Formats: sequence, structure tokens, C-alpha cells
Amino acid sequence: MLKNNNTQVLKRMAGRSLKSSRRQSATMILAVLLSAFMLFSVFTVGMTYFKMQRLQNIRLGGGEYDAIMYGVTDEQLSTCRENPDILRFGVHALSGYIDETEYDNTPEVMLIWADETCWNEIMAPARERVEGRYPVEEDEVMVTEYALEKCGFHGLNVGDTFTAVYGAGAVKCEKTFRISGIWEGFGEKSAFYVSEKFYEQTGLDPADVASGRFLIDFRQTLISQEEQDTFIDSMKLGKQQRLFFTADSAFSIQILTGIAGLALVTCLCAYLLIYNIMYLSVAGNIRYYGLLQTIGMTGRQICGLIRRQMFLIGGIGLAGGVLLGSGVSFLVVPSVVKSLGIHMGKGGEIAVSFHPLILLLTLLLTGITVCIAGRKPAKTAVMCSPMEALGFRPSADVKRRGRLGGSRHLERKGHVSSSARIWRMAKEQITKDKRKAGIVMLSLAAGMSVFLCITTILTSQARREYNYNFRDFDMVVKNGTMRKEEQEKRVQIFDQTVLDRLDAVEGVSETAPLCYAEITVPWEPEFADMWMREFYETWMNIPYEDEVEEYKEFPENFGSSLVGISKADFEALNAVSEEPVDEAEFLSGKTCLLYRNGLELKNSDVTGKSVTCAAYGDRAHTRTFDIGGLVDVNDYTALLGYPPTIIVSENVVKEFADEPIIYKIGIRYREEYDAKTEAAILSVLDADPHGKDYSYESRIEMKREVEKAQGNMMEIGIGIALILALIGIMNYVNTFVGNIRSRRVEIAVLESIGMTGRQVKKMLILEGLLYAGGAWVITGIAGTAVTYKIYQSMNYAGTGFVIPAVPCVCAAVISVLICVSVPAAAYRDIERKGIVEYIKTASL
Amino acid sequence: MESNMVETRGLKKYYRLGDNVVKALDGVDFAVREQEFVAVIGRSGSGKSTLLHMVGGLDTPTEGEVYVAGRDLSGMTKEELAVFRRRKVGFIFQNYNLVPDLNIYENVVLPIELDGKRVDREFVEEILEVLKLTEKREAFPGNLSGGQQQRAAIARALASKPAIILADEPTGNLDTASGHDVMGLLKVVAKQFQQTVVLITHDQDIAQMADRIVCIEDGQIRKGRGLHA
Repeated sequence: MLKNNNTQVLKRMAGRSLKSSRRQSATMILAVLLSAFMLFSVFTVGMTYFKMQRLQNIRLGGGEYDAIMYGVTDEQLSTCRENPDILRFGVHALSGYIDETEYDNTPEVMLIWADETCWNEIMAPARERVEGRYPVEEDEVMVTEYALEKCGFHGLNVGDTFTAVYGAGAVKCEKTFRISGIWEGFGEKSAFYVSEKFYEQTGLDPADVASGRFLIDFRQTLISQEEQDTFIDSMKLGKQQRLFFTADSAFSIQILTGIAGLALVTCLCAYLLIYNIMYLSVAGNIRYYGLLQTIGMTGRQICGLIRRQMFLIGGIGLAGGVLLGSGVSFLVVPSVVKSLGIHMGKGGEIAVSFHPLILLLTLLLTGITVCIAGRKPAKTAVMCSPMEALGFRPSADVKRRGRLGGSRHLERKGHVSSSARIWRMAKEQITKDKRKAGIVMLSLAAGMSVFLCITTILTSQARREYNYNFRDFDMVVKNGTMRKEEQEKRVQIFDQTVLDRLDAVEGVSETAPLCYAEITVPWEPEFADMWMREFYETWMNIPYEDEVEEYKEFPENFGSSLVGISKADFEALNAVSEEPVDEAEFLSGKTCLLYRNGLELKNSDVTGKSVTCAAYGDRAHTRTFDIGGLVDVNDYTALLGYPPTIIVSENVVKEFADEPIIYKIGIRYREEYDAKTEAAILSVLDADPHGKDYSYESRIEMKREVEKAQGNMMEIGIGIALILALIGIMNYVNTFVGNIRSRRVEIAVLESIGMTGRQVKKMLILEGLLYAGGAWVITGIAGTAVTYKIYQSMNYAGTGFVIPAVPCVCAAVISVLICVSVPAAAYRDIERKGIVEYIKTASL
Repeated sequence: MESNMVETRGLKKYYRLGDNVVKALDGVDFAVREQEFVAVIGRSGSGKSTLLHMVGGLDTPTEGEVYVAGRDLSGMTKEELAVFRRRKVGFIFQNYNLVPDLNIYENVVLPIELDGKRVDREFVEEILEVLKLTEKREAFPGNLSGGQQQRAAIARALASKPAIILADEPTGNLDTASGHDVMGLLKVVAKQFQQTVVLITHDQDIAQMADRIVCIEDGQIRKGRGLHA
């Protein structure tokens, strides 16, 4: 057969048809544009979001590293050097602490030595400002203003000196330090960074788990569980050593799966949007294609024509979408971020990320979607004979006509109200073309599901960091003198007067003090010996045998604490215990709980045994408790010694010691995050003579810190959710409007036989509501299931799965409003032309 | 004196088409008596369908008055016109315009149900019987022949006991035999149910079956056989 060169004519016809039916072409171009825009923005803004999440983790962790190891031997160092997967590693070693200054007896400031790699490479991204340089000389320190203030120093600058008593290992002495640099940012701010020379003179060793922190940064972003396990095995950890992967490294594969899931749903949204519009547009043009067939155009030529039209529409839409996406991603988002006043530090400078792959992916996905979406309608156009095409109505479904449905039922009833008839007609519109209705519902549901998923993740992100203490108190106040080495310096700073004043603060609903008494646990073979043996094996470098005699003879050299807790604390502890303990026996002082302290002891090793304690400095004053079990909650530890921390009822401690020291108070507010109450509490504490000796942690402070670390992550996340929700809505609007336009003849017929405009509107609104209802059912079942799956795969913080009520209710209300208003508006649009116009069309 | 079911006075309908003004109706005075069967004939574009649309309240005149069953349509709102149509007018279109998703019975009673009225089942059954549709009452329009669909459209037009039936080329899509069959039945039911009928056609043979023929040309009535105006 000779080649029929009809390219020119097809090209001309494709171009002309786009021009002649401008409105229809514009709708299709808009659909492609929106899809390309959605994919491009979601990928770009999404990539930025996850970079920011990484930055948040860097900030919260104080540096860019994937794993942290406690204590590192020379052998392990050389293993790391030989490991090709490791990009860099650095030492971050505890070198002591500031014991006191002339202005503050309890500064709680650490001394840390960071090696060159750690300071210059690993910690750099978490810093926002550095002035001066890292210490080189033995007396030099790199400080933060926060740490200086904790010591009571104000207005010191680089080059200034200050004097403080510091402790390091067994040494404690006064020293004058020179400030070589000041830094600000995220990480360990309550510390003075010291030089290598200083660290060396303390006699501490990075191999010691109490001092050496070894930060490891891997080359790859994704580290599978298997790779993590292999690395941990290769390090041949000692019993005391611990190696943890940071949250985002440990869960990197799962996080990626989650992102892939989101991308997939986004692609589905794009596909549905284009498919719906293409299908409706081509279906609406079937008569035109019938006419072309009548004048002799072959099926192949029609396919070619449609393909060309798709190519033109796809090209224009894609270019527009990518341009719009670029504008929003690179101009709108940064300017919004700027206007929000969010500051990005030098280390964490984040511009909206772009990767050529994103452009390629957008082009590819949209192109494929246009092709697939156009194939089915093209097939319909070709399959339709010229005569059939003349009578073609897009919404008619031949199969449905064979069934009688509920007509008999209605007939039997005799009288059908107009409302019931309209309701039924609306229902039939949905059920007569289940596939189309399904696609409309699915496209709406896809948008809503993504919205649900992102808001759930964002809400949990916002929620996860602030529940930092066991009983979820709003504030925990600590006795700073507890850090003192000398027993006489550990004093009662929270006496009854302070407690009464705190209780009197308006806005405080509960104060929960924890008290303790210093004790010794005399040696005995049954329990104390077993415990100490295990303790030495786990935590000590010297064998138990070297010190057991000293322990037997001078148990005062091995102090510990007897901690008193309230009934409420006990109930909370018991709820998470492996084996719950009898409450009456615990409260009466018959049984106690022990803090496990990381030992490899099981409950069965200790239950049935008893533990005896003696008052510190008074061996004759003893008390024995049956051991109820072991607990891992470290909120109930005061002074951690070698022997166990014994947890008993507060009344028992008060009976045992004359004046047990309150070392911590949990405070709950009537309203969460009540800044006024927090300020009132702080003024009560500051007014006390011991006002400088307390420290505190609060949810408000924690929230502030996390929000600062998060930067504009939340805004970006909300941006993605809104873009997707908007696309979902636009998809619905486009589809529904297209659907109503394709039914305008049918609606005109109904009006001609007496259906009022109000009744038509009512029918269309009911249809809209049914679509909304269907979409919510799909979102409720499939959307929630997908959200749960994605959420769990990304939930490394381990927070419970809670669907955020407010955004969901808002989304439901908005979707109902849209589902109601779109049909009404679409009807107004077709109503303008009047009935006769359409009746004429029907008569053609 | 017999009263007029339909009366138009100086009826004009002008359309603007680019720079030109098309006079679809240009001062039509037209009347139809109660229970009369009138055929309006004319060439394509003569204005016959426009006249029907005006009488049926589907379109509004540029000038002039339209009275149907004693009511002036010109002052009615869209909603009032819709209610007027379902209570007073029964339409029969060339392409039947049945709702494809409803079966024949449902199509027939649809205007009554939309009005929230109780369906007179005996009356509807009688119409279906006369129009030979009893067997097809539960069939869907797509499964019926053209003649059967048009008979269903006639049944729908009659079911709400309207004041007037307006038929726009009801035989236009049918073959000659079916066309005559449908026309015969329309004439029978109009007589049996004492209906007034205005029929638009360009087919002289079909028009001959009416009591009176009105000829329309260039938007104006031309006097002819049995003219009553």
C-alpha cells in the first residue's frame, strides 16, 4: 500500500480544533498544567521538606552524623579508618564539668573536647555563628553565651578570661580560662569546649565510655538494617560500649518508602485529573469524530489526530506547569519563608532544592499520564460508528438499561414525593456509570488522603518532642545541688515553704515532689554481691574482685539513693512494669522496685530476694525490702551509685530519713503550654534564697527549641498538603463541571418537561454530596490505611497514631461546601444559555 | 362562543446574528381553540419551532403577548414557567427526549412526580393501553424502537392532563409507516382525552390529519385552509 502522506492535514486539523474549541482546549491544558505543577511542586517542595527534616535532626543532635558510639578503642578507630562506607568520624569527649564560679554554685556546664573533624565538619551544620577559633592552648575555651550565663558571667567576649572551679575525673581545681571563641546554634550549648591539651592533662581517655563519644558519618544516605547490624558487629563492642544509629539514619529505608508512597499517591492524583478531563472532552466530541468518519477519515487517522491534539495540549500544559511550579517553588515559597522571619544559619542554609531529575520525572510522569489518559477516549472515538456517534451521549450506559432497579418498588408505593424522585435521580446518576463515579470519588479521595497523611505526619512531628518526661508534666524543676561531689553541699532547696508557694500559683494543678535519702547497700552474698558483680562487668574497667573487699568494709564509699515516690508515680510505673507489683505491699514499705541501670539482669534474677539499705553514715540504721521487680524509667533516680537505686513509697523515705531531700518536682498546669503560669513559677523560685541553685525543663522551652530547630519545616509541609488538597479539589471541580456540561441536553429535556431550576440544582447538589460522601468513605478506609502504613514507616519517634481532628473536620466541611457549591455554579453556567439552545442541539 | 386555549398577539422574536437581525417571528397573531388539533407547517427556518417554544414557555418573546389557558406567559419568572410547563403543557419532541435512565413508566409519570402530585395510576395505565405500551412499561428507552419511544413521549405528554400538547416534528425521526401510526394514535388520544394539540411539521401528509392547518413563512402567518385567527 502506498504511503498516504496526511501529516500536514492532521497537523492543521489538530491545531484548528484546539483554536476553535478554545474553552475545551483550555480546560485540558489546565488539567495537564495542574498535574505537572502538582508533581513538580510536590517533588521540589517535598525534597526541601526532607532536607529540612534532616537539618532538624542535625540541629537536635548537634551535628551531622549517622551513629554515635560510647567509648572507642584504638582497634575500633583503625576499623573505622579502613571502612570505605565511613565518610568521616570525630571524637566528642566529656572532659569534666564546671563545679562552681564566684557567681553560681551549681552552673551545670560541661567541659567537652571535640577533635578537628568533629568540630569543623560534623558539628558545623548545627552552628549558626562562630566568633574566634577553637581552643588550642590548655587554658582556652570555646563558649556559648548560654553556658556563660549559667555560670553567672555576663558580657564576656573573645579574649576575656574568667575563673571557675572545675572537676575532671578525680581532679578538682580552680583555673582561669581564656575565651578563644564564642559560638551560637544548636547542640550542646551548656558546655565549654576545651583544647586537646586540656583533655590530655585530665587523664581521661576516649576509650572510656564515661568520656569518649565517637560520632560517625556514613557516605550513603540510606543505611539498611542489615548494613547497620554488620557495622555494629564489625566494631566488636565491649560490654560497656553502646552504638546507636540516629533516628533518621536508622529509619532511612522506611522513610524513603514513605516518601515513595506519597509520590505514588501524587501521581495517581495527576493521572486521575488528566484522565477525567481527557475522557470527558473526547467523549463530548464523539459527534465530531463521527462526522470525520462519515467524510472518510480512518480510525488510524482519528487516532493520529487525537494523539496530535494530546501532544499539543500536553506540551503547552507541561511547559506551563513546570513554569508555574518553578515560580511557586523558587519565588513564592522562599518569599513566604522570608516574610515569616525564619532565619537560616550559615551551616544550615537551605534554599528550595532542585534536581534535574525532578524536571525529568515530572515530564516523564505527565507525558505517560497524558498518553494513557488519551488512549481510552481515542479508542472510544474510533470504535463508535458514524451513525452511533451522531446519537452518542457520554453519560449513557447501555448495560444499566437492562435492569429495573427499584422502579417496581416505587410504583407499588403509588405516590412518590418530588424530593424522593430527585433524590433517586441523583443516586442513579452516580450508579449508572459506576466507573466514572468511582474515578471522580477516587480523585477527590486521593487529594484528601494525601492531605490526611501529611497533616497526620506533621501533627505528630509537632507533638512528638514535647513529651519528654515520664508523667508528662508541664515543667520539671531540679535541685542543682545534687551535682555536688560533697554530701554537705547537697541541700534542701525545695522546702515546704517553696512547695506551698508553688501550690498557690494560679494555674498550677499539681505539684509532685520526689525525695531521696542517701544510703549504702551493705554487702551480702544473695543480692548485693550479685548486683555489684553485674555492675562492674557492665560499667567498670576494673574487676569486681579488686574492690569487693573495700565494698564489704567501707560501704560508704559506694553510696546510692533511696527514692520516695507518690501513689500516682507508683501507678504509672506499675502500668509499664513487666510484672506489676502489689500496691498495698509497695505503699506499706514491704516491697521496693530497683532501677535496672542498664544491667543485663532480668526480673527473675531479683524477685524473691530482698535488699537491705543503711542510712549513709549510720550503719546501724537499716531497713530491708522485698524486691518487687526492675524498672527502666530513669525519671526516678537521684544519685546514681554502684549499688542499686531503691524506689519505695515517699512515706517510707520520710520514716527512714529525718529530712529527705526533694531533688525534683514535677509541675502540671491547668492549661498546657500556659506561659503565664510558667513565668509565675519561675518568679517564685527566683525569689527564693536558693534561687540560683535550681534548673528546670519545660514543655514550653522544649517546644521553642524544637520549633527553632525545625525552621520552616511545618510551613513547607502545610504548603505541600495545601497544594495537594487544592489539586484534589480542582480535579473534582473540573470533573464535575465537565460532567454537568456533558449532561446539559439531558438537563434541558428535564427542564422542558417541567423540572424547575431549583429542582435541577437540588439534584446536582445531591449528586455532589453523594460524591463527597463516597470520597470520604474511600478516604476513611483506604486513605486511613495508607496513611497508617506511611506514618508507621516514618514514625521513628514512636509516637502513637492519632488522626488530627481539627484539620480533618475542616477538610470535611470544605469538601462538602465545594461539593455543594460546584454543582450550583456549574448549573448557573449552563442555565445562562436557556433551554431552547440545548433542545436544538438534541434535535440535530 | 368557544374559548381560545392559545392566543398570541403581535408576537415577535428577533435574534442578533453578527451584524444582522434575524426575525424568527415577526408579529404573529395566532389562536387555537380548546380541543382543537392544529398543524403548523412551514419550511425549515420559517419560525414554526420558535412559535412552539414561545407557546410552551421554553423561550421568551422580544415583543408581544402569549396567553395559554388564559394565563399571560410574558410576566412569568423562569421558575413559574417551569411549573407552568409541567402542569399545563405536554411536549413531544422529534427525538423523543426520554430520560435514558428511567423506564417507560417512570418517564411517563416523571412530570407528575416532579410536581409532587399523586399519580393517577388508572389514567396512566389507560394511556399506556391506548398507546400499546403496557407490555413495554418497564423497558428502558434505549431498548425500544423509534415509534415506541415516540408513543412513550406522547404518553408522558398526556399523563399530567395538560391544557395543551405541543408536538415538534414528532414523526421527523420515524419511517413513513411508523410516522402515520404515531400520528393516528396521537389523533385518537387527543380526541379520547379531549386534548388541544399544536403540531409542527413540514410534512403535508401528516398535516392533513389535523383539524386545521396554519402556514408560517418568514416569521409570519400565511392564511390558508381552516384558518382561525
